[in-house]
Amino acid sequence: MSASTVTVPAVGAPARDRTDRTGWWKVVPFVVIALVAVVGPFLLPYDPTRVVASASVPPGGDHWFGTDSAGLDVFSRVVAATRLNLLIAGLVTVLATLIGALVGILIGMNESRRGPLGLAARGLSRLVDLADAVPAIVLGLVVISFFGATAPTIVVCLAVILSPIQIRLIRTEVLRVRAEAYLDAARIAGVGEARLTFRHVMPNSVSAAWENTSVVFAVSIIVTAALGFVGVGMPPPTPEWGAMLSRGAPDAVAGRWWSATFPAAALALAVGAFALAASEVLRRRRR
Amino acid sequence: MPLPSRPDRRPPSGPAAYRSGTVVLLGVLPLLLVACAGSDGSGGSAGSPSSTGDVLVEAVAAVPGGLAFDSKPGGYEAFEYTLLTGATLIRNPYVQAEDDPNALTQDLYDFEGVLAESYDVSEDGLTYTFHLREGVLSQAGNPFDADDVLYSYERKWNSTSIAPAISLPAITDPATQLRKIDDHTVSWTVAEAGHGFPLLAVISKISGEIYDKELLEEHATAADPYAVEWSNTNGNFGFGPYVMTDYQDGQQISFEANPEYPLGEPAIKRIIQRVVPDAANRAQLLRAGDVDVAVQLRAADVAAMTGTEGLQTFSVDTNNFAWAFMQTRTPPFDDPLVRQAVFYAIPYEQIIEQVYGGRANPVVGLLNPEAPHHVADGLLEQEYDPQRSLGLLEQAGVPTPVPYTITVSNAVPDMEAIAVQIQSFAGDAGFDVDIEVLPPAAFQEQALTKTFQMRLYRDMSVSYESPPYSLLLAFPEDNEERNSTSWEDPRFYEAVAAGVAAGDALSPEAAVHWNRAELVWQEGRAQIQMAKVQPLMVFREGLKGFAHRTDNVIDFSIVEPGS
Repeated sequence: MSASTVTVPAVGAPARDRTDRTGWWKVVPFVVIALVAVVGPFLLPYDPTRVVASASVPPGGDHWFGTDSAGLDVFSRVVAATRLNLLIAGLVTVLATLIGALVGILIGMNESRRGPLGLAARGLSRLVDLADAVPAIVLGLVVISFFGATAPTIVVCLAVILSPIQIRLIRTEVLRVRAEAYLDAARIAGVGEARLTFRHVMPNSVSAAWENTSVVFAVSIIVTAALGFVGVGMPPPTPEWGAMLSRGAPDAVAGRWWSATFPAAALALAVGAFALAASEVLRRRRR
Repeated sequence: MPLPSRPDRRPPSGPAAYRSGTVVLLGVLPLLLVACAGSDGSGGSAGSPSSTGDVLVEAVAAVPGGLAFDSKPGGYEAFEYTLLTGATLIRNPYVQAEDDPNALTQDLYDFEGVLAESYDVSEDGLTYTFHLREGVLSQAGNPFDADDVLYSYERKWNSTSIAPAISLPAITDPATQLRKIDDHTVSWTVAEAGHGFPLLAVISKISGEIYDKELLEEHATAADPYAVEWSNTNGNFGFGPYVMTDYQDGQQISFEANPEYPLGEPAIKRIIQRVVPDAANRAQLLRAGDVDVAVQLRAADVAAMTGTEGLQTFSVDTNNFAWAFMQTRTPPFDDPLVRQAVFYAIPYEQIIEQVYGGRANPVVGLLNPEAPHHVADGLLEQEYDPQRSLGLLEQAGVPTPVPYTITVSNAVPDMEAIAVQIQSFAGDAGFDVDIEVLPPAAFQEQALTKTFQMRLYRDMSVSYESPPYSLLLAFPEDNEERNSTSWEDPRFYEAVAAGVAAGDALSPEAAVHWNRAELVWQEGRAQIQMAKVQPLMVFREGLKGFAHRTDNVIDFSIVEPGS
């Protein structure tokens, strides 16, 4: 998984046009999905974790998206899964970015030092490179096999796995910022290193990671689903798109397409909608 | 003429545009995943021809974990390999199945010779003398004789084989029980006449395979004195109907018919086992006519293929059980009343209809109801009765809902589906169920360490017809390692001993004691039998000779190409 890089707005970029109303429609799909996540579970026609009908009933009047091979209502499960998948993705994004900020700043501020601190920072940097080189799904498989598949485990596991993306971005920004003249001025003025780091370096280094949250969010949805698909996701019958996909795929081969197609479509829509919304928000932020 | 220039569209630029495109692509991946689910996945050519006349292509889930039964390679593929290349002294003859005109089944209460021509029983019922066939050659060309029989049991009892454990209680020490009379005669002696039928039952199954002593001794080493490891990787060390001719790890295995097989060269001259890991893809290949036989299919797929033109499914009563085992040392299942309540909290009909598409049968008791003189008095029929469950929990004095965790292996999807059904219906019966899905190794580890509460799995009792064997299989006396539930009851073992002491294990006198043992087992309820799953293999139309066996694999030596 490679990290995206961002271009820092050049000095003298035009001021934001706060009257620009075009493009807001791009946020609407994600807002709708977020609304579904918040209110959807209260409006479900069936309990998403209980057997409510015969197995593999095709989509129709009673069951809009049909039922899966266990007789669970696919529509109710797709809607109920929205909250869990978005919640996991949101928490993973926040946590991965916090880890990224902390570790990225630590590495960036110390890696050129001499002595044990510099050595530790450079070692940590190589460790992050190593972690980034291993596919997230493989790391996830191993970690979750050890600690079990619960929502907190998945959140912590994915946050740690995806944090190298943010760490590398923030480290790069710190390297740039720490060479700025105003830091030297602050040092000369007697500002301590800790205060310097958190008061001046951090605010000027995390914007890249902030812009990158859209990637982390989307990737965490995909990896959560992929872990479910390979059988180490949330335990059944927890509604989760990846696990639904996994359990529905054999049915799809046999022509019973609905139990995998609807969660797959929800997954694609959520990722697409978030990407669209994030690109619009970031575009406005940069203007 | 110059092409008109394209309108000046500002290309997306910057990281946001890059990210947006990337994540949209990532989002579309799941849809592609669903689309790809229909692909072959076999690694072979989907359009390649399957059988032509006497060549048969079988879609299997994997190659065997090993080729020697004594090296404990479990699973369908290992059992089928043993049956293809191995032979026993005797076997159960095949007869027409009562419930399916297109299927055969084993007559579990009769025996016919394979490597033995015949056998006699002494008047006291303690000694069984086997007259071996002469002129039989092994796959390596060595002649078969009594030494092969003695050597085979010596190896089984001096290796890591599971044969000693599953040959109890009839065979405890082959060194003293098995004797060579002459080059073509051997005898088995049992401690009590009641062990006679269990002896025949167990030596007629795949654990009674006879090996080519001469070949194995050639490959024995100080570290591997019985050439178990050599045979585990090389195969072809017996007298079976087929010879393995090609082994491509993870891809396919080929077999040729053995013209020296004592019951005659099989009609199918060549078998190709093609590895297709995914059950749905195996079913799809069969539907497409790319293979002749697909095994280990999902019950839902077999149900969907029933009645499909060009395919044959089989509806035979089997011993392929869906079992629930409860750990009785720790709460909540340390209380027999709670275990009895669970019996009424399982939606049996729902499981049979929804998980198995109607292709499973209910189970009553622990023993084969078709056994001669079988007594079923007092045995409870399966019934989902939430009120009864709640009553038992109240009697037990435990607060409801009673929480417990069901553990299943992610390698057996129907168990996961059963767990979902149980969870869904157990709420009304006073239980709060969690489901834990583990990889096979972790699942097995839980059984060994007894750290589960309830575990579901599908397995068979290969010598199902033999009462003491079936009763003791999961609850061996004084064998903590093999008794995963830790349930023991002196009354149970007393009844089993009385059944053995009654003489013929199939006699009416013995049957009374077997019934007593079953009633104690029922009261203890450490195990619940949820369903007997009908055959999970499908043949293409035209192939003849499917037989259900208690090892639940296909005996290709009796299959014929048909039209």
